[in-house]
Amino acid sequence: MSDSSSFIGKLMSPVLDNDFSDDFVHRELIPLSHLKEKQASLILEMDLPLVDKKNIEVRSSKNYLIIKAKLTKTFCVSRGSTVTEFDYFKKTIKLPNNANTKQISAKFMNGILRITIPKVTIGKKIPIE
Amino acid sequence: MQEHKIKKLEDTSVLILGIPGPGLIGTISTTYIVNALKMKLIGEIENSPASIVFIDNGQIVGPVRIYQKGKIFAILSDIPIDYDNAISFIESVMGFSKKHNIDLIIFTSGIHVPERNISNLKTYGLGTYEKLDKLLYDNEIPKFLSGVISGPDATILTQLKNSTIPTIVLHTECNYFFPDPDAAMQTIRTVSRIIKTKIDLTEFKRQIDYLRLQNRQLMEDTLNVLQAQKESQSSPPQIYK
Repeated sequence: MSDSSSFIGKLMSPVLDNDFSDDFVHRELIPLSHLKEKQASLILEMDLPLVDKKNIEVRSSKNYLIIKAKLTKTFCVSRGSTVTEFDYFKKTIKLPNNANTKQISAKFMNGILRITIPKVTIGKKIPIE
Repeated sequence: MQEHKIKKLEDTSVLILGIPGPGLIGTISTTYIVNALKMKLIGEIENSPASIVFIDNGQIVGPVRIYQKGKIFAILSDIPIDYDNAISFIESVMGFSKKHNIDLIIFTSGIHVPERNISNLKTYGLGTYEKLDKLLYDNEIPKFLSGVISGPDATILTQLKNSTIPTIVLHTECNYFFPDPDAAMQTIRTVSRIIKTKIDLTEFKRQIDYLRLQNRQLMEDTLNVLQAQKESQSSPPQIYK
């Protein structure tokens, strides 16, 4: 058995940019996300750590929502001799047919992006006599 | 509730138990405690719930490990415990506890609170013996009064409730779906008070964003396990109104 908590220490410590190895791969991170359906809207939450609000771009295009966010520092993951560098989060989401794409709003707080997608109201109100 | 004599805390052997769950509170907090207190790796739970090992410096390390420093022990899992494995896992934990005369188990977990105040997160406590209420009170831990606990936490709690080993369960308000180091930090503070051991959080605060990044895959795996269980279960009965 190991005589210290060095293994834990390695799990805890981040691998920052300009570390060892010359075999670099550049990739985009897919953020963790969670979709919650409410009666009148869909709430999409995305975990975006190491991101500033000014570096987030949310774009709606036809039936898709594209979220791109630049990290404030390059995040590196090393496996063997390969180091993968991540500079961006990126995720594309297909919107449901009943999404009101003109009324989408977004809020960023504590590293979590919350996008509210209102649903299109179909039908007309029926008066009750 | 069963009657049980609780020793003075200074003479108590404590086991901190951290497994992946909501917000990964158990894993993140226990990992940091092990690291900050420089606890030594003394063993592994051998009937691990999954066929996975980590290789560290050419050494094979299991996913469920046991650490110790003096009278403080920690069992830490880096893989989610699914429903099928929860009973054998907790039986192993209880077997270890009996063998090492553990007086108190502190089980760390999270509870989903969507609109929580991140600067004032609360940790709620639940004891398996009435006398543990005093320990909660002395450490200013509000009691978890009503609600529903499901998933592996429920199985583990049921087993611990029926065992002779006093257990405190700590549930900290958290984001269920994303790794939540802020909530884990609150858990660490609470554990620190209970075990009367100072834990420096400077390094933890520095790494908060990285902890969220590094634990993405584990969070995803954990949610898959919790979701699979949710789908296979019917709605829990409404006990409290």
